[in-house]
Amino acid sequence: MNAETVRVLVADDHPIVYDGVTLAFQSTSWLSVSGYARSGREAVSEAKSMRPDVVLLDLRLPDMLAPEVINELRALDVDVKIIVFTAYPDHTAVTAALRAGANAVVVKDAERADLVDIIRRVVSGERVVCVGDSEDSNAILRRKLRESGLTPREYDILRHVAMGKTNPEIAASLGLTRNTVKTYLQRTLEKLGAHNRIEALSRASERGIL
Amino acid sequence: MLYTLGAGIRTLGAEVSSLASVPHLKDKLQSLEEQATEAAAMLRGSLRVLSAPPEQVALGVAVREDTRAFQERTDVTTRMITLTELPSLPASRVRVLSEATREALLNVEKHARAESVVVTVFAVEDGVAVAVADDGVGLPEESSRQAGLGLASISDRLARVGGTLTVSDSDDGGVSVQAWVPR
Repeated sequence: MNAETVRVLVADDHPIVYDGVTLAFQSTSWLSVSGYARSGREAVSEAKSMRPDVVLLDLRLPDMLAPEVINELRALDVDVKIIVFTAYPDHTAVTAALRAGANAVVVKDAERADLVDIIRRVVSGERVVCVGDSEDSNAILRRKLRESGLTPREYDILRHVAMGKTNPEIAASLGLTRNTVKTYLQRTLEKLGAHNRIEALSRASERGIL
Repeated sequence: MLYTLGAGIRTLGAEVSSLASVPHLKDKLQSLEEQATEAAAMLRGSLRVLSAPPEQVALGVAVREDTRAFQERTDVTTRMITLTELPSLPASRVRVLSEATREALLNVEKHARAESVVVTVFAVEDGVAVAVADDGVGLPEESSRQAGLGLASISDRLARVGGTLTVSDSDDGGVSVQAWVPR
């Protein structure tokens, strides 16, 4: 069986994004970057002539914002999936783009596999919004925790301590015994090289964990 | 740009992985890739803060200033931690939370003989709380009335906007003062 190639038009005023996407798709045989546009105008005319399956559209092009480009693309009456590709998910603009008919909104540093997967899902008719701030901070936090040797549970307890909770309160809200909380906390202090809870919070903050 | 850096490194990594003799090179590439992802995430975080409306950052700015002034005055190691995203608050509530922070820090300065102080700000129970915790000696009996005086007036002011003040002993000796206002 020969799956059809999905042809992608990249619309972004920075050629480096085009290079990045091309690189990212290199090892995926069913995806090809077939066109490049540096402005909203160009994107619309390219879409008209090359009939791509997917447009990866920058949120802000020099001449037009994504929602305007989307309106014009939709008016062309071509069956194209539009993925807004943005470095900075400005919520108002993202909402406007979705309302104008974008099929997906994706943050630019989505992992290669993510972007490929998102395109696959969009092509099969799904709507994908992937702009979570939480994904950013999660990635950073995971590494910081790994470096400090703290477990997610210990991190959880440390956050509760930071909120001024006492051991019994933490035990109640996490469904643990007081002794378990105490043990976890003791281990956390050791890992952070702290003598007491306050110092532990201080150290955790210095290391960017809290 | 960071996106492309990351993608470039990833591709290099894929090519390199076929050469079994250079595992450490692969590790280095992977850590470079992680750093590119992180740099982009941090940049986005900063942009988010920069573009936030003033009323949303007012509390953080006020409490940070209170914390900084305390540390300069006392030389006690003091960290401010923002634990969660904070909702916008009316100026009057920002003011009373900042007053509570200052009063709590003043108590630490007068009575606690603390080595470390942590001020945390976080959204909780449909409002915002500031907790000031120290690792000092706790509130001594004889001065607790005097110390309580300033906090009592803060407690009244918090109550006027529907807020609360909690003072408790921390599990290892110090004191934790927590001020909360509804959003």
